[in-house]
Amino acid sequence: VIAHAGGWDELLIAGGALLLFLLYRSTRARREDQPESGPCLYCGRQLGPDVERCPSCGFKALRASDPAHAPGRTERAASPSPRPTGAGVSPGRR
Amino acid sequence: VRRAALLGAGAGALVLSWAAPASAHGIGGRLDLPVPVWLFVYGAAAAVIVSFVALGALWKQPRLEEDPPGRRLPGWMQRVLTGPVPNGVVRALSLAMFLVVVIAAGSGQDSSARNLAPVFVYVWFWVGLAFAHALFGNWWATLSPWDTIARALGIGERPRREYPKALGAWPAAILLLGFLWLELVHPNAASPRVLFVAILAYTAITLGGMALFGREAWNRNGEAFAVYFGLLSLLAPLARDREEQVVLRPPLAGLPSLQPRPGLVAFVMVVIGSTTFDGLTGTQLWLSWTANLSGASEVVVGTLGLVGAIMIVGIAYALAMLAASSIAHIPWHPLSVRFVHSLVPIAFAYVAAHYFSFLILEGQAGVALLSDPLGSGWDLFGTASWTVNLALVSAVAVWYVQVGAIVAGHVAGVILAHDRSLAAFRGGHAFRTQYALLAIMVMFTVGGLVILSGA
Repeated sequence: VIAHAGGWDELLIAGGALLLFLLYRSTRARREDQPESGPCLYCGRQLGPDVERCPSCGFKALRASDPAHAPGRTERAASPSPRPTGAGVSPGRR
Repeated sequence: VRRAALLGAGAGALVLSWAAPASAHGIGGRLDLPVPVWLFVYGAAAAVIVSFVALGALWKQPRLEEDPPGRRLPGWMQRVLTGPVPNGVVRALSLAMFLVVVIAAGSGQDSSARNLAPVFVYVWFWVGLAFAHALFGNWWATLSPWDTIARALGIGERPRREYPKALGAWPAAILLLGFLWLELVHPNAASPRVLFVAILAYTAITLGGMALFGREAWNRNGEAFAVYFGLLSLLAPLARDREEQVVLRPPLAGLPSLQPRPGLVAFVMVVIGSTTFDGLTGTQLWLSWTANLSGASEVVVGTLGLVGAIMIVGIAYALAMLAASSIAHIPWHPLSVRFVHSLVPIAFAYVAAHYFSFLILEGQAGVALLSDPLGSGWDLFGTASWTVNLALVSAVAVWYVQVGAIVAGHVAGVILAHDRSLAAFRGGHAFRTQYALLAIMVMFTVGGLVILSGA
């Protein structure tokens, strides 16, 4: 609305296109540079070389080459014993 | 890429700062404030920045990520809160209330002023339960009428298919967007008959989803309100531990345990973006732009506005993550998922700021309608003649609540992001990765207050 009122919609469209290009390039570069195995970058579960989608969190497999960047270090989602109080998103808990 | 992202974030902040202060919905002007609105806006932004700097200096170790144990409530409180009899009574009352609302919506007077359904759905349920869950934990497990119906009918006990993990919370995000479109864009959103159709449709989708994928799986991923109230309940100081006992824990301590899954970021963006759109529709800019629209064009513009607001919030967040990713050397998308928990307090802050007065004032109408839910002239509980007390809360008090909620929500977001950064990144990365996120937090603070401020 602001762009239309200001008459610079085309700048917004060009900016959006540039942003999409940057996102695409960034994502593709990272995917092409994937290590064969390593912890899932989303949940920290250890992923094998042929896994296309993480069986734990459901995201397309993106593996960390540096284990220090794996969230498994800190997030209970990836640990063998999930944190009980965090199940607030499940109606099974209160 | 980092520079581009930072420039984008900066430009967004400038755009929002440039926008003239606009009128907030249903609250009126702020002419009687002791200091000008712009000073509040600067002060709020400064509070967020000072919090960030203070955290960098004083908060050196992750604390919330370490799963602080809660303190169990006394035995008699456990029995009251978790016992089968109290839970059964609450389930029965909730189901009865649901049926009353459905009957009122379907056969009561088709007037929002003389029918309980609109006030119940939009004020008591949507706003009231949001506050209740953020303060007292996840009660939707017991309150959900759809869960109670499914349990009673044995729906979802033997699911036909395993829920596809790749879908994640996407069904919930889409259904929530549908509900918000109904509330914010539909020209007859307050019509009981429209609500009747919507409730029946949502009931069919929910029970169908439960039958197909199982009750638990659908409640976790597809039931929009279960996901919404579940997210807000992670803010609460009350939760259940491993042995299903109710514990007291520090506020915000539940959020780091939010499990990553597809659609979660989209869900949070829908909540924040829709609230922003609701505020935007009350501004002079929006009103002047849509003054000559009616019928289908109004719906189309409203739909584009709602989706646009959600996308702007999403793009701003993606830009921040893009900038952080170039510092942390992690792709931006996993980063955006791992930090989305820091936006949940902001989502609630927006809800609290936008709807606090709505709940206090409009919610009173429900007291009278509770005695006469169908508009038939009944007085079941002796409250049919209850009148709304508009003086219950002043415009100035509402403004202070709004400023307090916006600032507290963003400071809480900064705390959560800082704590996760400390746990996830080594050395200076932990602090530097948050610069862009801080820019977004300040932008959201300024934008939120500008929209709310009134003119």
